[in-house]
This record gives sequence, C-alpha cells and structure tokens, in this order.
Amino acid sequence: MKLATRELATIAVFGTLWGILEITMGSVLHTLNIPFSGAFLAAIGLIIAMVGRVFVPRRGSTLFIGLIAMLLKLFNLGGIVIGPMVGILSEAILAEIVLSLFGKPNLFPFLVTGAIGVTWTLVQPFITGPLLFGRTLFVVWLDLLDSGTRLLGLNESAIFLIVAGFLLIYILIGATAGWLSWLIAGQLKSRLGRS
Amino acid sequence: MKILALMTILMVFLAGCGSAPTQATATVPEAVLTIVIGDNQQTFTVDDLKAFPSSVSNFNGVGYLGVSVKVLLDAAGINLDEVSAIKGVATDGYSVNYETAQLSPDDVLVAYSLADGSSLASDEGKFRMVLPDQEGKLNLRLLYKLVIVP
Repeated sequence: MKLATRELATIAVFGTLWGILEITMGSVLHTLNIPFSGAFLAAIGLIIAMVGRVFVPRRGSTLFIGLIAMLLKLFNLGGIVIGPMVGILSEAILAEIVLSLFGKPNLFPFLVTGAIGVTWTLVQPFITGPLLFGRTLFVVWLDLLDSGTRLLGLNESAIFLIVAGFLLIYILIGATAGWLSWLIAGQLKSRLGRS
Repeated sequence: MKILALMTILMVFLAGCGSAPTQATATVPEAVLTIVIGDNQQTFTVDDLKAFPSSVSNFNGVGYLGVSVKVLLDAAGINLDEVSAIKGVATDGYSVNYETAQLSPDDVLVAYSLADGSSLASDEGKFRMVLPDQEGKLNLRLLYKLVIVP
C-alpha cells in the first residue's frame, strides 16, 4: 500500500489527535475513577479514527491512526501504561477489520465499528488480565460483577442482567460514536469543500 | 452542533447514572475491620491487630505499621491457599479484588498506623492495605472489610 504525502499527513493528524486525547483525558478519567470512562474514551478515540477513515478511505489507514495514538501513549502522564496501549491498538485493529470488510466508508459500517470497538473494552481485561498482569479470569470476572453492582445498581447474583446491561450500554455508546463520526466527517468534508 | 451538545449531555447523564460510591461513610463502622467468610464474620479493632506480630512496609515512600495479611487471615482461620480471591472494601464504596498471590508476601499488610506509631491520615481511615511495589489502586485506603471469596 502506497500512500500519498497528503494521506500520510492526514493519518498523522488523526493519530496524534487520538494519542493526545488518550494521554491527557485518558489519564484524568482513569485517575478519577469515572464510571464508563473506558467506554467513553474508546468511543471518542474511535470517532477520531473513523473520521480519519473518511478522509483517507484506504485499507490500513485506521490501523496506522491507532498505531500513532498507541505510540503517543508512551508519553502518558504518570508513566507507561501497557493496558491502554494494547487497548488502543486492538480497537484500531478491530476497526480496521470491520471497515475493510465493508469497503467504502458508510453509516452502517461506522455503527458496527463503533459498537464492536467500544464493546471490546469490556472484553479486553479477560485477555490482557491473565496475559499481561498475571490476573486470573476469576478475579477479572469478579471485577466485572463489582462494576455491575456499583454502576447498574444490580445484585451480584444477577449475573445475566449485569452482562446484558453492560453489553447494551457499551453497544449503545459505540453505535452512537459511529453515528457521530459519520455526522462529523460529513460536516468536516462539507466545510472543507471536499464533499 | 445541536447533536453534539445533545450527545455530550447524554454521555454526562450516563456517567452520572453510575455514580461510583454507594455506601455512605457514616453508616460504615470504620473503627473495626470485618472479615467476612460466607455467612460468618469476625471483627478486629486496632487494638486487636496490635496484639499480632507487627511489620513495617513502605508504599510511595511512606512507612506503615501493620499486621501481615497472611498472619491476620491465619488468625481468622483462613488459609490463603484455599480461597479463590479476597475483596477489600473501603468505607467510600471503592473495592479491590485481590489475587491470593498478591496478598501472600509477608510484607503485604493491613496497616493501622504509620511506621513511627502515629495515626493514619484521616483520608486513610483506621485501616489501609499496603502492597509495596504495587500500583496505587491496589493500596486500598479506608479499608473496613475483607470479604473472602471461596
């Protein structure tokens, strides 16, 4: 894949935007322990990546945007954080796969990409926990149930409701991100006279 | 712009829905540490903990005096090797699920004072977890309950 200089510059701009957002807002949200911070951060990151995809509608562009963001996360306030770096990269890979499967950027692929990308943040601890941080799946599961009781106000024994509730919220946030990115991309293109 | 504003309001609303702490500090007996094992529970005061062999551990450059978690659980009749996890709960509603391996080192403490014997700061509560060299979120402050997950 050979990209024009303009396309490379555009990818760099969107990747930098996502990266800066992660190292600033990401650190603050995680430190403050704000509910659903991971989902909101992923949603905003994916909005940037998907808008970038509209401007560089080429295979691999979303992945490159994510790679730049991940590299910038190395300069995170408060030190290097492997988990979020893996998160950014995996969200970019998933977004790249979904967008590439659908071909031309469109609203529906954006909705799906947003939903899958944000929902991934719910699944990721089950993979990175044991692999990177030596946590057992059981304790990651306990963390999820605890979040369910705290954020959804459900009893720990309502396992199905907790999982379904989280899935619904994450899919909703992700799909909203997809919809927003389509709107923002349209607005930007029209203002820049590139529609 | 209207849509963006609407979405921002929606996100703020969603975030607000899950306002994290659910337990009011006033309703929690923070002067005692409770160890919960199924339907049974045991309580320990600071003086109870002082009766156990004490250790000093450091976190973030501060020395803490307390009792090793392993010793405390032994006293409560709990073998760390036979449980799946232990949940530490703070009076502000924050909680941490610990792997048993995280709590098994001898220098992991339930601290009840600073190393020089002075009281913990008010924002640390009567008890706190001290896991040297572990990230801050595992070093739970305002500890009031340890729940044993079989």
